Amino acid sequence: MRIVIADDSTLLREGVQLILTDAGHDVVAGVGDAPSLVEAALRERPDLVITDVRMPPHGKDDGLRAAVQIRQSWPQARIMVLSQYVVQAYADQLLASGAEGVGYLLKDRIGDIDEFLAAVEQVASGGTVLDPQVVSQLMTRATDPVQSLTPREREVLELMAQGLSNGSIAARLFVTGGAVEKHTQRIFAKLNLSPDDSAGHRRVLAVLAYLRGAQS
Amino acid sequence: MSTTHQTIQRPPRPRVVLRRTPRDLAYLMLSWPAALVGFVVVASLMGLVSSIVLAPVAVPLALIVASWSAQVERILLRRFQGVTDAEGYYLPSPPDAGVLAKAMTIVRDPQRWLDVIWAVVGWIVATITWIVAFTVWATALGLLLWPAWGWALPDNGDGSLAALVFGAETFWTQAVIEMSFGIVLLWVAPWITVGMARLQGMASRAILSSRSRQQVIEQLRVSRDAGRSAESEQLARLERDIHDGPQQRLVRLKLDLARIERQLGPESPAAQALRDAIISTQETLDELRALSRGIAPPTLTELGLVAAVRQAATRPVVPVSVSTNLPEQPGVLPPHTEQAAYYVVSEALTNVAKHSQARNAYVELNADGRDLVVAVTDDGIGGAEFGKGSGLAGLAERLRSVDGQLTVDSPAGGPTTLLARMPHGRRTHADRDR
Repeated sequence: MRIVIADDSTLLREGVQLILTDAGHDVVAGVGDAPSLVEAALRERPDLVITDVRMPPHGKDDGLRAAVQIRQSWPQARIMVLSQYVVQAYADQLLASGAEGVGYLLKDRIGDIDEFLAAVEQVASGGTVLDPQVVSQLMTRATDPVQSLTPREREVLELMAQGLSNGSIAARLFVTGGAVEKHTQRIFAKLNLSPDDSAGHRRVLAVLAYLRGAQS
Repeated sequence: MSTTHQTIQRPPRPRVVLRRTPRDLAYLMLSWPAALVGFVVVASLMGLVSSIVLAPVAVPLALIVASWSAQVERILLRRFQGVTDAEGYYLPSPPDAGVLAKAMTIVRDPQRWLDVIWAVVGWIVATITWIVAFTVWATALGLLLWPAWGWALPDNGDGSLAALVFGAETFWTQAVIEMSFGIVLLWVAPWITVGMARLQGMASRAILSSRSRQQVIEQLRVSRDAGRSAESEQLARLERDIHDGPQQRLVRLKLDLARIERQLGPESPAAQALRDAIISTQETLDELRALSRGIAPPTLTELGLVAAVRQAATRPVVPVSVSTNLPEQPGVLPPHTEQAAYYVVSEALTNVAKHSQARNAYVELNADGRDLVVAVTDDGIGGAEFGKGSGLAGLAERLRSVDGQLTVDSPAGGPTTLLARMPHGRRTHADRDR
């Protein structure tokens, strides 16, 4: 697929580019600041935009702002945001711009190449991927009835919130797809969530909304 | 600390008094004539104030003479009283200023008006101290030398003190009594001298160098503020450099190692060593990240205090609610205030998670006209103390460095409230006053 990468560190941009080209992707543009990113993304219309958060010109959350800006003029844009540390507020802002085809990952995750490439595919195809840290922050603070889930069910819920499909969850937990299916049914029942939300990014949103609501 | 306090409180010992006496006497003797001249000239010039024609010349002139007179007193203070900070703080007249501008600077200068006050008050004080000191010494010496002049008194000294009070008849019994009084007076004269000198020194210092002391304090405040902002700026730069340099390189190193591992395949003999290298790279990254959080939390500089506190509130195991009257944007308060406040919240929440067994915690962050008040409350078991290892002592220390205060209310059984109050340093009135 065609990808635009933005990161002010050339070193890192090249590193990510190498991994992506190894996997057969085509990096059509590499930029180092937020305005160039907006310009490049709207010009190239790539299958995926990968951007750093902290970038020139302000050295703050410029990358994130650029991502939101891109989605304003091009709502179908698929954007994956990479960051040196997890900030809940960043994930919230990103999801607020539309949860379809967005990802928010810690930069360290790129090191797990297979998972990173899977996340790239998933976001590009309209899914939602959230860093396990974002989700675990929400999970540890969630109160009843999340606490009433069995450990296995909590594990499944956590992976659901990160944006994994049932198939991926099954592979991650070394169980069959049917077993995961049963777990998800029970989770939805226990949390009183609608089964309509059992597929794709809507499932992620539903779970996230639930976790946030369960915090207070 | 208590020992120095006692030394100051104790009255001076005889040796000290004797050693000080010559200098204090010289100070008193010289100070009064100078004050007298100053008073006469300043008072005469000020007397012309009512004259519309002469006032524009007389007033600046009076102010100049008053400052000369004050300068003489300051020199005497330094020379004989060892007062090191006897300095006036005069407004500098602008360079290339005309006569009128110079005169205006002189008339506007508060120090010069204080000098005029000194010309009056100082003259009164100096007159009293001079008379007392002079009289004591002159009388003491006179009485001691009585045999040398007593015979010249009418009626062979029958009108003398000794003759009137003690009924002394002969010349030599009179002489012995008068000289005894002389010795007693001579013995107390040093104490009176030192006391008078101290009285006058206090008066003149209060009038003549208080402004300079205020100025020193003001300069210290300005330089401390500059030091603080330079420090927080440098810490932020250090954090940025770590982020842009080593941190990026380590992430890249990890990517490259992962790529090689993937290319070699899991069966390769080098795969295990590579995996170890990747893990150790990740650990280094984690340590580096923890390090830069300690230097200057990146969320604080990027998002501002409120958002950074909200982010910190997602870390502990217990749910934390945050309420504030501050806007959610970076740079609302000076960096050192934001850093201190963030540090309070972050430490307090760490304590909540570690020791409190709380189910809920609340963070309040409110600024009033002068202070930023940070309150962290939890519904845990209480009993938090300023003991070693609680981190509270370190927190109190950190707050003192920003003129802040920490109070902890934590009865056994809870709840625990940690209250930090610090001036937020958002300059409003102070700047306008200067």
